[in-house]
Amino acid sequence: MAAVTDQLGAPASTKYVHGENTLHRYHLLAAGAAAPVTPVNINSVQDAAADAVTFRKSVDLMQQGGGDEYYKYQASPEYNMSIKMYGRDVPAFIAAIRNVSTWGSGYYALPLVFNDDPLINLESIYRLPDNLTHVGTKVYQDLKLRPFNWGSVNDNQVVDVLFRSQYFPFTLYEGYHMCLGKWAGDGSTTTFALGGTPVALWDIAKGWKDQFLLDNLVYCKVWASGATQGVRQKSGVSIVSTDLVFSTAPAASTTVEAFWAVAN
Amino acid sequence: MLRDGYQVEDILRCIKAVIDSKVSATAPWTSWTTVLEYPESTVFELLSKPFIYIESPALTRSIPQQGGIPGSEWEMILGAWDDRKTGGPEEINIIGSQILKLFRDPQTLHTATFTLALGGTTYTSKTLLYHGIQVIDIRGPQKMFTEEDKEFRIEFILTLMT
Repeated sequence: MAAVTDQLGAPASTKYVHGENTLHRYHLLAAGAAAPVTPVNINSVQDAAADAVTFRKSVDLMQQGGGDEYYKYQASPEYNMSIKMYGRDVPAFIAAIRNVSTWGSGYYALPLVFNDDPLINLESIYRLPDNLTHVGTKVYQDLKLRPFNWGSVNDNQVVDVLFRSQYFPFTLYEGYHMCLGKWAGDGSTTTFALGGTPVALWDIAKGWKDQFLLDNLVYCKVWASGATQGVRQKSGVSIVSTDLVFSTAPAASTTVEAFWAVAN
Repeated sequence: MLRDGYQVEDILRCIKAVIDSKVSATAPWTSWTTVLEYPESTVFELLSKPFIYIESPALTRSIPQQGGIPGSEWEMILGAWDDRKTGGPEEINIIGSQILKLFRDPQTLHTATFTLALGGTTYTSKTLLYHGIQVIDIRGPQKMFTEEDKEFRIEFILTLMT
């Protein structure tokens, strides 16, 4: 039985998780059809920092007769995060996540002004010092670039690449990773193979929704032809075994996108 | 696994075992030998090839946790000595480079397996992480004084956590 005089033993060495062992990789939302899309490792990361989620709408709801009791209604979440990386790699990184595939071979200038479109989902994969043993992951959805710039400093140039998102970050259990799938809609196909079995996600049953579309699917979007971002589906989508199934086939020339977790 | 009350000895044995796993199997490590602590003069006179010496760790920082015994950060000295008087520092530089390569590659270092007896228990083909050791830094080599110009000696400081 726990006692107020308990003395804890020294922490196991596996409790120490160092940022130097974290693997950061992104899933490109503009990628071509694949299930899953191959994530891209990010080099030269020095730091990945994230603010707590805040809500653009936050109201304390009270009622006469309820005394001091109130319910905090919150909506329109948002948060900022940033990746500090060597300045040398920033231009190529910005070009890559904006899907400028011919950066340095066809296009040679890139304006540092960004549309408010989600570009990547990010996994920060925490590991032990063997750079192998997975101890958990932090996942960021629908990251959009925020305005940023850089100058010139002495010593090694480290640049803060700024992002924001309107969708909750979440943690992923050790031994699991995220998959992004992209498929072409043709107006008749309703079933899209995920290539694996999606695992269960924690479902907040009461109050603020966890934003997960299904208990085993983070989201499903349908992109119209030429659109700069997809539309998150609220219904009409299910997971049947290892397939994503629509009740109504996505229209021709659309792109279907889904995000789910699988075992390593 | 590190025994409570025997950590200084057990860490020393584990680090030596990792190096021994290379010395027994992998060139150019097979050209060298290892010893515990810097050998007393009558002992190292008997050593005919370059050797790597491993000194006992010292606790340098406690890593606190509220309500319990702290974790530990250690430093220990790894050294190498070449008295073959071949006239040049090439061999000692190769030893130093190989030590850096081993201890600066997290995957190779922390997945290298070795068999070791600690107390009455033999641990077969286990890793540093299994024994509770994380190597987090190595600095060096620092050139050390030798009595003769054609002898070469270097040292590293290894930092680890348990």
